[in-house]
Amino acid sequence: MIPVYICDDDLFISKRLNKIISDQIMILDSDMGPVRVADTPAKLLEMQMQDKVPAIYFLDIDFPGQISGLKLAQELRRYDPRGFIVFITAHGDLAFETFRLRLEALDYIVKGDFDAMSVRVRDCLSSIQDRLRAEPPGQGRYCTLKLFDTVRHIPVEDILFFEALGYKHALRLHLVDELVEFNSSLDHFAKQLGEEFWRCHRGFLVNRCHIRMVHLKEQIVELDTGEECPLSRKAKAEYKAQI
Amino acid sequence: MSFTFRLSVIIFVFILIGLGMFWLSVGIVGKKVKAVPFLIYAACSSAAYLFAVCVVSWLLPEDIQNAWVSVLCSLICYPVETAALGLVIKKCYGVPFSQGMTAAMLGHFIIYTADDVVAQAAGTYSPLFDRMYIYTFITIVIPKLWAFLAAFLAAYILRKSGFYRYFETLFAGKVRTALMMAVSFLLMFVWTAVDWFFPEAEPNALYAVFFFSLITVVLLCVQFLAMYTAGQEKIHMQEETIAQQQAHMELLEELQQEIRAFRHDVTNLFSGLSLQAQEGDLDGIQQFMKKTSSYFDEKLGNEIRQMDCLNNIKIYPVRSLLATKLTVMRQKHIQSTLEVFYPVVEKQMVETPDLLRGLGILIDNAIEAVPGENGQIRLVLLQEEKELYIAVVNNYAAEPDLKALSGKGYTTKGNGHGTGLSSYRRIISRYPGCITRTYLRDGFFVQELRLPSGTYHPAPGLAKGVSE
Repeated sequence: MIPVYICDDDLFISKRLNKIISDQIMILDSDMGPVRVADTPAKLLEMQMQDKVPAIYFLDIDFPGQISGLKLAQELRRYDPRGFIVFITAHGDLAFETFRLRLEALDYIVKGDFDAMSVRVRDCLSSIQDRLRAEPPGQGRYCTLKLFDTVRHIPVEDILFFEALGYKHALRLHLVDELVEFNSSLDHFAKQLGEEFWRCHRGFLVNRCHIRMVHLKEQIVELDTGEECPLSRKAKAEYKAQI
Repeated sequence: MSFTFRLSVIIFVFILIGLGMFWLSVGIVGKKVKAVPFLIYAACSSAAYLFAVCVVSWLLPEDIQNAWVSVLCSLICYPVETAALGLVIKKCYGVPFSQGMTAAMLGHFIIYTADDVVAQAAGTYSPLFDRMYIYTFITIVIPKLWAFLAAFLAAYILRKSGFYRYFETLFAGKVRTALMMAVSFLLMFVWTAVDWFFPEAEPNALYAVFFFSLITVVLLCVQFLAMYTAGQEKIHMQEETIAQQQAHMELLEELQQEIRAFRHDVTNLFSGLSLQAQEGDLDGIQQFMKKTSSYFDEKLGNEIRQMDCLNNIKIYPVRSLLATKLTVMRQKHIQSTLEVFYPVVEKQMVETPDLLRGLGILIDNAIEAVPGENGQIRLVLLQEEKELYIAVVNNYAAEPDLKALSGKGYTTKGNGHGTGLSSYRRIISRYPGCITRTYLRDGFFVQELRLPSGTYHPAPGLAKGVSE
């Protein structure tokens, strides 16, 4: 069961939302629930720690006199980086791009018309259900990337290779459909990720699952995406020895 | 003379000249003198000297004149030595090699000039001693000491006057860099040339004065040239800022026009409404409310929101850059949104000109990439405690190829357009701790840039941890 939380200081709204969500979970016949309501951010953070993650959160944007919805979501993300966050707002003109990019928030629901809210909630929940089916939690290994204050969990199978850039401690991480550049050392990841990854060159750490071919003569490691990594003489000797 | 005395004099000379060179070159590029780089450099340059002497004495038959030996020695030694210093400066201080080497060559010129002039003068004017020790002291030790002092003094003055800021602008283009390097290379060999062409030249007071004025003139020329180019650059930047501010003003004016039109509309609408109210037409009024409640948002909402967001940016050059880019987008009928949640303040680790260039490149790329119809660009700036988060999101006509993006000079627009992204990389790579992320999601191309902010210092090994 995936816990669902509602956090809004307006009791009327949270009651109404509780009803909508519970109904929709019933209709979808999904293993979500129980639905719990917190009227302050502090309470929600406390509740979150007591149950398992990932969870689904419906958060108000504004809590007068308390932390903002953005801050709250960041706090929640700390413990539950893969949870699903949906915002509740009074205005249609929410700066949602910020929330979506920064917090990977799923969607937002505009307070008001009951039917419109139901539709939006149903869309959210069914999209969550799809995602959970595609990638059930607790499966596979994750590589954890701590960048500034945020933590990202990257499924190991999405990683193609790490590349050390010329300048000090800069790494480029090649994922399927993504590039990330940050400061760290290749040794660190080589140690942490273990045997699944191969140091085919001083500056390259390749995910073994993504290697299509090793061209010994050209000294190149070809990946299944078509990308190529250089093969050092030392790694080549090791590779030959293994065969 | 005893061997130990000779050896100690040689070591003394090496250390003094080496230290002088190092001090002056580092002073020219405006960095702090550190022990480790100096030691590396000292080892390299001594090795270069020894190597040069060995090669020359091995290559040349013994009966050839002594002048040849010193010329050949210099020809091998000087470039190697200065290149070594350039490399050390590049590795240890992160200054580009061309600048480091030019600084080394200029330093070389100054020190050898100071040394040579005093040494010759001392050799000529000092009374003849029968004791070699004192002679050595006067013709070697004192000039080297003087050369070192001169280097130290020059470095101090250059550092105080902030010369390195001008120095950098001398290397702005390839032509300038080549010119600077060629000139300093020639300067380095002035003394070798003088010795070669006028071996019999009598050093006298006039001669000394001539060469000191040569140093001064060269230094002044370099300084003037550097200041001039820096000034030109500044003027250019200011012109750009003015243009951006004008664009901002135009946007404000446009908004004012729209508000005027809106006021006109509202007056009309309300006169109709008051009529309905007088007649007690409640249904009509309700319908009117429904119709007009979104009217304001539709008309002015987006502009006003963008204005609010722009006002949240407290770094004014960034604000005007964004205003200009938003105007460009509007002119090209690209649907744009800007989100700045919290005030963006002037406490970034990244210097504003570099921030402007980087952001400008990202936005220009987005503007180029959007499809001709229904183009969409979203800009997000989020100031947090430890970082400034920037994202530029756009839809695209042709899907960007991430594999190619990591290479040099990627572009979808054919040759010549790809310099933006690689210079963006170069700018960002200057600041350790910056994080960039590039990805595709739901038909949008997302470029994220996270800059350390405030007093945050990135520790090596920033990213860590792996879990099951």
